[in-house]
Amino acid sequence: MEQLPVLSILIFLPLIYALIVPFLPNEKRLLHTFSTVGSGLLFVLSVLFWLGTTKAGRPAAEFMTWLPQLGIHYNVGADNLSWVLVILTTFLVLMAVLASYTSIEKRLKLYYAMIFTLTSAILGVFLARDLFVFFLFWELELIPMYLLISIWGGPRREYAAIKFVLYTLFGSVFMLAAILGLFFIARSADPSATFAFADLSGVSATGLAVGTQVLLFLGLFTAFAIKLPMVPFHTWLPDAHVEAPTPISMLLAGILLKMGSYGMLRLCFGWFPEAATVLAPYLVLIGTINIVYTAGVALAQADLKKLIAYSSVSHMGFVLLGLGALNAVGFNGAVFQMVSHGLISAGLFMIVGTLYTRTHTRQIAEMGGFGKVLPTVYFFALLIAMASLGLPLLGGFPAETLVFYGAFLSNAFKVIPWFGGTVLTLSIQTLTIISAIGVVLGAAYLLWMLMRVFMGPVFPKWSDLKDATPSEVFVLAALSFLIVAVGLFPNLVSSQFEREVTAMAQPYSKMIAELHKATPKGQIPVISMMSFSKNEGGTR
Amino acid sequence: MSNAVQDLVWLIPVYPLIAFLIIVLGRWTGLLKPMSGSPFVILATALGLIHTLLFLGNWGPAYTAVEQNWTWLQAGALQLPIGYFIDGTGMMMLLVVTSVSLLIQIYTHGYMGHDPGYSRFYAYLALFNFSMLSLVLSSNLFQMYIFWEMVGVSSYLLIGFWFTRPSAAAAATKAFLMNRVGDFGLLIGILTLLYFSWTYWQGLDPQQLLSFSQMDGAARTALAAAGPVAFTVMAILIFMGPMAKSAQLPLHTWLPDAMEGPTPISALIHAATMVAAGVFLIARMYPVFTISPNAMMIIAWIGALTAFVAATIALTQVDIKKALAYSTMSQLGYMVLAMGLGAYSAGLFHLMTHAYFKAMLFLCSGSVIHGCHEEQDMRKMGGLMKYMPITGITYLIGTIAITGVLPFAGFWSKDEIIASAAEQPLLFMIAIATAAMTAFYMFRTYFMTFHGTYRGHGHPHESPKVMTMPLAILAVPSVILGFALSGFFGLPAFSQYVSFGHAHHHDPNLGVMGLSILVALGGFLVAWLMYGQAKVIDPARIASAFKPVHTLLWNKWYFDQAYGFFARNIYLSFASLSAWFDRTVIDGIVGLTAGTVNASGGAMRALQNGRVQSYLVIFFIAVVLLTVVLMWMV
Repeated sequence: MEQLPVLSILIFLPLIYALIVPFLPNEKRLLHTFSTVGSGLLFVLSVLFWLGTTKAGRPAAEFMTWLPQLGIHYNVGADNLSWVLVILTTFLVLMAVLASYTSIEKRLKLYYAMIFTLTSAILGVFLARDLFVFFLFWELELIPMYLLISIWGGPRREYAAIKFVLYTLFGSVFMLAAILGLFFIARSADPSATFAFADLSGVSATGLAVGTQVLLFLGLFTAFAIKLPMVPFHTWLPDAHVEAPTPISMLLAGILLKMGSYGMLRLCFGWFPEAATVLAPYLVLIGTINIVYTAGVALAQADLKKLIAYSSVSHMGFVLLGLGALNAVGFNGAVFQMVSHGLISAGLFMIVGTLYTRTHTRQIAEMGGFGKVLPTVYFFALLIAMASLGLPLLGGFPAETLVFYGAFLSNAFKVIPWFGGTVLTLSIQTLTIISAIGVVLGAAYLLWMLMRVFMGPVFPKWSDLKDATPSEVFVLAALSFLIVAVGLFPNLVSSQFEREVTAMAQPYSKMIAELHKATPKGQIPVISMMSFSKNEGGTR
Repeated sequence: MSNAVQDLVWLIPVYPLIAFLIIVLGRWTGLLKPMSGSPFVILATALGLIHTLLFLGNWGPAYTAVEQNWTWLQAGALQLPIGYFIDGTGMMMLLVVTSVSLLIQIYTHGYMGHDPGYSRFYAYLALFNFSMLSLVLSSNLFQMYIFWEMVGVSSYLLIGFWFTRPSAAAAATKAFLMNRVGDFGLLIGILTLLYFSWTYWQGLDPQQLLSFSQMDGAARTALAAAGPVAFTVMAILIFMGPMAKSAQLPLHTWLPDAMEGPTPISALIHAATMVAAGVFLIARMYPVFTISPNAMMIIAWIGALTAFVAATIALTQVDIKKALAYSTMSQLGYMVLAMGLGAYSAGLFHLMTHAYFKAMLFLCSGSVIHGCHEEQDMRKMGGLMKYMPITGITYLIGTIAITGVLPFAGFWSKDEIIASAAEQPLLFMIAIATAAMTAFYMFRTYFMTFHGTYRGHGHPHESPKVMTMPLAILAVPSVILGFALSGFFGLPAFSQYVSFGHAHHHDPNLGVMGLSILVALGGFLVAWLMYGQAKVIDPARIASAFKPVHTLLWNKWYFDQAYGFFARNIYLSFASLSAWFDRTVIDGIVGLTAGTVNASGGAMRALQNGRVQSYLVIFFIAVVLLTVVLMWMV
């Protein structure tokens, strides 16, 4: 293990696949098999490498001088937060490849080349330890995603793909500005500073004005918020989902959105605690709107895939709420939500896909009684929908629990400062209660969906639909297995990242105490007890 | 031996879980035939019952609570534990759940014997048993919330067992949603409690977070931190959970609809066990409720009103299962009333006796429905005593038991509740009036079903032994359980086992006893006059004489209509308004921006030609430009 550049292997192996695929003979079965074996290998390698580096007891890191005069170097590294998302990625890519068997018909070579390019880009984002490299991988993801939607998508694919690209580019502009700004600030203090995370993460602690911190935070945040997606930057997502083919929807909801939440946690909240403390009230407010408002929108959808897409947006709101809690419990909840949302939303889109390949419709009104003719699909739909609405002992519950507990016990803010010194008297507790309404709404749209799609009498035209194929069953069973495992033994997952994420919340108790020094009345000092002091694990 | 039995008590819910997994995996792999799920489940439940009895036998006379905790989920300073906690109350629940479950699972073999979903039904039953037993064993409030939801989903699956029927699908969805509303309150209540009592839990072993054994100190800390008003609000939020689960006003409308499920389910889940979980939660959280007099008063009033309203609705029901469902709701109201009055032992005693006799009554109704070729309308029954004597006699026993006639079970438990209300005249009057109505509507169902002449189609027949045998067994506790545990006949009183704080036994209130027997007889008499052999009074004339009242009751006090109005006009308006806003306003602004960009650049279109090469070129140019800019700046 000593010499093996494991992280670089993981990042570039898929890219190598993407280069091999065009030279394979144009046979469907061969291409499917190659991609399955390839992505399977990638998944196995990612798990093995993770176990190997964990055993070695030090975070994996690889470095190569690249453009020294610009301070840009190829610099990748992995702590357990990155590993969890890397393994989630390789797993979901394998699932997406398997899901392609039944849902992708044309131009398979280009399709798989793009899938693997996308994989490389995503893994690069999660593993980059140089901000410029991070940005490059972030942008690289756009091209394959654009093509995957615009070539294999539905009738309005071109519109959806362009919308996706324009939205993302819009965010990237701000991110780039913030990255450059941060770099030059670092350079001005230390001429040898590079784009390395290690050089930039401490910049805010060097006496940087809060206003500047907030600007840098917001610059990065805009890009991540669009990816998350956060209201009101979310409308690209339903369109992208509706037009994208099933495997792409799985990847989009399962991993791509996590690039946003990962960036928020590591870069925004990890590097700018002061700015995060100032901005937390607004982020939680928007997170609450995310949860409740998009749940309401989901409730009104007649298109099954749109319903699931809005449900996905709604559940990503929990990440905002958890981060805005500014304590260890909330942060852990946010990360846990990334994992469970990755599994659950991929599963839900897989369900939608299996129905679509059979019926060629997404209109809920045209469906009914599928439980009778598609019992296997119904079984998994029931299980995954229950997980999504937060049923205990399934994957979604531990995440929502941590977020709710973290937010409710948080001392992040009692009121929301507003323009001109007036305040909105909304505490984080009140907003948590409002968010919890989202759980009721979530149950409503998912249960009504189950009722209208799977229950009731079978429509005559669907009476001879065939139940799930082996590859579909495999995907659904693998996802469900993990959803159940995560739900039954959540500590197995959370203990992986718990130390590092808890350490990220470390600075906040002091920040909040200082911020609240001016208005100490009526506060219960919960937060100071909520963040650990005995865990000192480094994050970089 | 005794240690192993005690240390492995967590196996009690695991047995049915294993049975559940065997059926699911067995059916999926095809190793298990469609009609073969039952032995595993029945065996698992029997093992649970034996384990419970062994535990009880080796427990010794001290009845000291047993507790064990493990960390389930940890993040930062927060540790969420699961474990088990058994005291007298928990043991009583364990006995009720395992014994009633076992009998109902045996009965189910006869009732569902020809249903193609036989194995699936048993799998759901096993899932329910796992959830319910875990709920009963819960050592802390967080764990109880977990299994609180799990019994809810089991109930959802079983109500919607015949999911191709639209009415069953709707009923299942409604039950889940209404319980979600209650659980929302419960969740916020738990969070509030934790918020205000955090300092207290900090001083304890972290694995005891929210544990029932330490709830007393937490309640005091929270009361001191929150003040009485916020504390009462918190208590009521927690009470919202039981309100939905135990079908208390106004979150009750799911329970009658839940009768869409197969009858064994109505007996097990929607009469004997799950709906009683609400009362059980109140019992577990008693340290919190008792120190808030206002919360106790609200609970008592909701219980009393529920008992009353449900009884009035039961007066006019013609569907035998619906009548029993409203009766269940009414009896649950009694239990909640008792809890609100501080009569802890009385409330739980009624929970126990009610579990047996109501399970029996429901199983009888199932036997009747089975024997009458799936007919549930009592107007099309009658004279069934001749055709199905065992069912008829056991139903009569159940009716007497619920009515509260000496010496049957319901007399002792219900009487204690009514007696505990003696100091509050209004509540007392409501309780007495409800007792009178109970006697009336129960005997009404009995006369309509088993007396007179048969008004249905085909030939009714007695059910097979596998169904009547559980009825006969359940009749035993329905008769003797009350006086056996009344404290007068050698055995210690129920309150010696199950009590809050120190055990205390009330002397019987002879006046109340006499009054409650009197009103029960009155109810019986009126029922006999209207529906018995004599038919002295014509029910139709009564109905037309009290037209407005009858209409109100016939429409179940218009709760469903009110909720329908709410759902259509508020809930769905919120949804469609949000959707409109999203489509028109948010996306409109985006579209406007994008449109401007699009219009201004025909060049853009040339770039967006879908070819990989051009994108790579653009990407490359962008990177080069960026690099140049950087070099110039550095």
